[in-house]
Amino acid sequence: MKRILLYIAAAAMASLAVTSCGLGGEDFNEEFLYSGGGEWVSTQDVGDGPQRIHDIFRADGSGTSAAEGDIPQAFTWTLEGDRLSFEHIIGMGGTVPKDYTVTTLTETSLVYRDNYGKTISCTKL
Amino acid sequence: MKKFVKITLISLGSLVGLALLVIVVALWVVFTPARLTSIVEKQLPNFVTCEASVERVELTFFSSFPRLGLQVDGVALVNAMEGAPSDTLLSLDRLHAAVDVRAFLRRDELRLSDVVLSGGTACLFTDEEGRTNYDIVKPAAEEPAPVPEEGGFALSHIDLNALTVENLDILYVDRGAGMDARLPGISLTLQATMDGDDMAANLSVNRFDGAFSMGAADHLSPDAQLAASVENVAFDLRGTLRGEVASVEDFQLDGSNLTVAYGGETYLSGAPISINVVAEADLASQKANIRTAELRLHSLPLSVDGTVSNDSLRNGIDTDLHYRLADWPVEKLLSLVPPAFAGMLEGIEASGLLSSEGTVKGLYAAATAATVTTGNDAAATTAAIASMPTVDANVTLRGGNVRYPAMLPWPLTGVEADLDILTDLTDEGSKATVNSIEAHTPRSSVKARGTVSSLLSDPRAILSADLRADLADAKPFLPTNLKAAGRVSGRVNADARMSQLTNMRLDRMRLSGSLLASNLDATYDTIAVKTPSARVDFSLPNSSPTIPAATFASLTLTADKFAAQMGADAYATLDGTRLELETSNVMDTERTPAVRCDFAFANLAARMDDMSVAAVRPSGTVSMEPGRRGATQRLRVAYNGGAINGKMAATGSAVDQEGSANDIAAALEKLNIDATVVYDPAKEELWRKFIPRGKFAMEGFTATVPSLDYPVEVPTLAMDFTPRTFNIDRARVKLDESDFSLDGTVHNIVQYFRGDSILRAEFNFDSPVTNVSQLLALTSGIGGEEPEKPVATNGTSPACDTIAAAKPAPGTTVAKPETPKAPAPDEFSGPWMVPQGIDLVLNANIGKALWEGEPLFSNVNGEIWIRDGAVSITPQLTFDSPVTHGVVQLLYRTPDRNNLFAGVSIHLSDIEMQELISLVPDLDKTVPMLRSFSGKGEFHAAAEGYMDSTYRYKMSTMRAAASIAGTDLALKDEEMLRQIAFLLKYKDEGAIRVDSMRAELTVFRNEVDVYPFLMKVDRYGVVIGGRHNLDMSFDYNISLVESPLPFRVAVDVKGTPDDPKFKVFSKSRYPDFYRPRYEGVVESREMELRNIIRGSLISTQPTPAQAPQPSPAQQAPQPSTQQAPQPSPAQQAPQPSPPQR
Repeated sequence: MKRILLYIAAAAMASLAVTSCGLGGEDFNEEFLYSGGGEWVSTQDVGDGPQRIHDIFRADGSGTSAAEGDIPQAFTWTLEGDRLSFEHIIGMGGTVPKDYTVTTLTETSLVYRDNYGKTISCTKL
Repeated sequence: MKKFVKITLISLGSLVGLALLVIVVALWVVFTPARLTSIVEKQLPNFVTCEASVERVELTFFSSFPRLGLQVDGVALVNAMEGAPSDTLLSLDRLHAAVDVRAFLRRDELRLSDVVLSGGTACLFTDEEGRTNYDIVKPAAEEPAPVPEEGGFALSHIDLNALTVENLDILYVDRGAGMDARLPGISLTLQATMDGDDMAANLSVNRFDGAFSMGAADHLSPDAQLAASVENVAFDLRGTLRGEVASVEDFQLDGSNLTVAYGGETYLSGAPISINVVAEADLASQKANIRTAELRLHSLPLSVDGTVSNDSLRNGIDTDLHYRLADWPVEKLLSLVPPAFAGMLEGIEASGLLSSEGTVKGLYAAATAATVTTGNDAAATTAAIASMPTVDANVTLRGGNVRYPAMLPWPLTGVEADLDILTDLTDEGSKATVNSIEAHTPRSSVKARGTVSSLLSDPRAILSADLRADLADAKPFLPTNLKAAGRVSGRVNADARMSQLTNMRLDRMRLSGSLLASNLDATYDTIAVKTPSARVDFSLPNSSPTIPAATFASLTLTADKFAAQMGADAYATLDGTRLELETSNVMDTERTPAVRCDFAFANLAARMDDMSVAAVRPSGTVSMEPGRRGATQRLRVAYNGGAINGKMAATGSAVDQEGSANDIAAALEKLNIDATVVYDPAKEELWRKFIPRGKFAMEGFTATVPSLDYPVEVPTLAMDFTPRTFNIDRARVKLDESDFSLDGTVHNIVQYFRGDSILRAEFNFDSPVTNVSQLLALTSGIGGEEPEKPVATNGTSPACDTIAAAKPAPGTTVAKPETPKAPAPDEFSGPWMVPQGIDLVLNANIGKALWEGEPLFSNVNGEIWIRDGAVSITPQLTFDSPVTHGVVQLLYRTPDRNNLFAGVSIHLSDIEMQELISLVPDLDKTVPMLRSFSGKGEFHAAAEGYMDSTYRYKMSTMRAAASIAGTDLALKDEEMLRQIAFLLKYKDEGAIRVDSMRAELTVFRNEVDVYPFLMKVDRYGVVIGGRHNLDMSFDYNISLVESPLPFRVAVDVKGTPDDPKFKVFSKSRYPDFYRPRYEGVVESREMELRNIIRGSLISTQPTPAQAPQPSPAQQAPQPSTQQAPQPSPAQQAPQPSPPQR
């Protein structure tokens, strides 16, 4: 019986541990993303040299992204825990999902990274 | 006997002696001159009212034997009147008369002889009130006429044997009529007999000089309106008076010279004149019958006969005269023209014979006053009534010649005229009938006939003229820069008034005619026309206008051959020409002109500079007329014709027959155009200014241009257009290898220009072969304008849709908008700009589609939309290629030249992997590993992105998702793969066979993420995942999840294809992938993402009912690349639906 109780306790602990790991780490306040206009700017080299990338987050989960001088393109976003997920919408059909892990999210600063170690730092305009 | 004789003679002698004695006593003793003078002076007051005196009166017997003569010397009658030139009425030096006493005593006959009035003057005067100084005979009432007593004195016969007037000066002055006449030194002889009421007389007037004037206060004043003088006047008159009938049996005046002046101008100066008259007059009826009257003035004969009578009832003179003049030399008439008018004829030389014959009939009455009372109206109207006799004359001119160098550069010869003139000196009653008038120049002639009316006011001529003219004769009348040669003949009809000719009121005239021109060669400045034969029919006005307002004139020109040249480099030749022209009065600048020209040619050939055109049987209509509303004009062009060939030398050199490679040549077999344009100059916009409507059709069109290596062929084209629609009934075009037919309709043309709507069109495009790249090059930028700055949606600023460039961060590069550069029309330099503002549906059915000459697709079917700056293929375009069957959706928008949007959805089935790379070359960059596979699979992808004007992708806009699946694939024997296989302990020496594979990948900007997928090779299961960048650097992890080996092996591959780095026994990133029992959260998320990707691709694979539409963001007008303020959320483009939370 003790063994059974021990197994049950161990399973419960394991479950909690797994759930904790599945939710990721720190929870961030997503309101920071879209408050104050929700426009973030970062400098990235996306193939044509360093460019200022403007991302706009809206409270309804939509947004746009574009380099300066370019035409904005739409995406949807979700923030669950520290996982920031984008679905960049292709007009002809199809989406481009992108998942990032948020490391910093404050009123004025947003830092997230992908699974390949690419880190993007944004500041709010 | 002797005694008897002796006694008788003695007795007679005694008696004679006694008689002589008695006479002597009577003459010298009883009737002495003193006594007789005294007696006469005492008796004179009993007979005359004026002062009279005689110096001496004596009887003569011996000097006038056997008649008794009376001689009076110094006769004077003095009757002074105020204003009279002289107090003396009559002054005679001597008056002598002889009486046949025996006849007087025995037969009561008064036989006078030797009546002589010698020397003296007579002054006859009438003052303004009509009183005369010669009314001196005492009226009979004052002294009762002596009643002849029985057996007393009563003359039954008076015989004036001879009355001689010698050297008598006569002066006649009538102040009332303003008339003066002076006849100095009159000498005449008169013989007359009077028997009862009958009288016969012979009068012979010796030569004298006389003068006459009229209209002056003083006699013979130079101010006289009419003055005449006659020199050497001498005439003989023989006449009778029988009862009331006076006959001039002979009147002859000859050898006189007449001078006439009127208004101070001398009309005749010493003109020789002769008159011969035979006439009679009924004094009772006051009617004269001129049996013959011949007048010669300057030897110009004029004969008159007829009657003249006094019509007392109508207070006029009734005439019925006939006159005739024959062969008057015109040159003599011209010499008679007074000097004052001679200047008008200066330089005119004329000859010919003028003849005329006619009648003068009717009443001559001077203007009088008449009172007319109408009805009960007491008012009276005074009107002037005048009547002139009617002159009906025939005038002829024969053998006329005119030379007038000042006006006529050539002499007129053979002038012949035959006119009938009818006039009563009133406008209504005056008319001339031109029976014929003819004149010749050395090379031309004209012959006319007709009538001329209203001669006295505004003459109206209705003439018909036959013309034979050599245009060389017209040279002096033509402008110096107009030269013409050739002959013109034909008939011209005219109905015009003098005032219309003077004022050139062609709109009031009636002109018509038919002229035949031969060997016409005319040059005006640099324009030259030439024709061997042409016919011109014209009419003013146009009695049967085809268009209502073209009533001014019509003209028809027909010519077998016609050549025209403009300058040295432009000319045209026309065969079988027929032009029909109608026009309104184009000189009336206040009205919109109406002109219509129907043309037809058997052949037309024209050349201008380096261009030439030839047409067979062209015909048509060009017209312009006032529109129905306001000041609009309606222009119409209609053309029907056979073959047309045109050529233009691109190098500017002359077109030769053979042509050259640089020539632009065009030809067609048949052309039909019927188009109208309503032009409203009051409108400002072009589409309101010109409203077109019509049809256009042609067949067999081919054209070659140097910029194209192939001819442009349009075997058939038929279309019609209205202000609202443009319809292509049928059109077939061949461009090199492209051969397509097009039909359809364009709607909303007016609405489009008005800004109410975009242009809508739907066309069917059927083609067995289409070279797509050629068509794109030819249609690049049609309808486009200068690159536009993006326009905001929802009324916001265009800059609001653009990420702000106002605050570039230090060190960053802001892409500057590229200066737009329009491509040359004949080269595809890119980018291809989608036509703006139209909504076009093209139902394409292409058997074989080529790209740059190479086969691309076959059996291409679908609808291609061009909608307001975007091209989309919807709902799908299916095609076959040698390597696959495909379904494609496409969206291409060109908001500006530096933001070219391309979106594509492509689904390929059963396609060889290597062919897939060749079909979609960009895959080689995004999925380099595909290079290593061979075998067939399926491919689904969607991608979008923006390009710059050089079609270079902007990496920041790249978005793509793809799903690739295949079975029984083979991996190529490549070094890298061998190394990987070695590291994974794969020992099969043969080709690596992949049983199955399905991979999902995405492209986001420069990142290509390959989501972990399982690749089954024999007994091995390998999970591959990772990322590579478009700079070809990569970071992959290959995990062996199934193998005969008792352990897991993973390899990290990083670096570049040229310098790969392998890390063996690294940590497997995907140890539990595709092992459901072991999948954790990470694995689940990765699989979820893969399913999202594939699901979104598969679900968007179009069906016929679906039509891909641009996403809201894509439909949004594009932002400027210039600086822009920060967009607010509300100003952003419409967003996709947010995900469910």
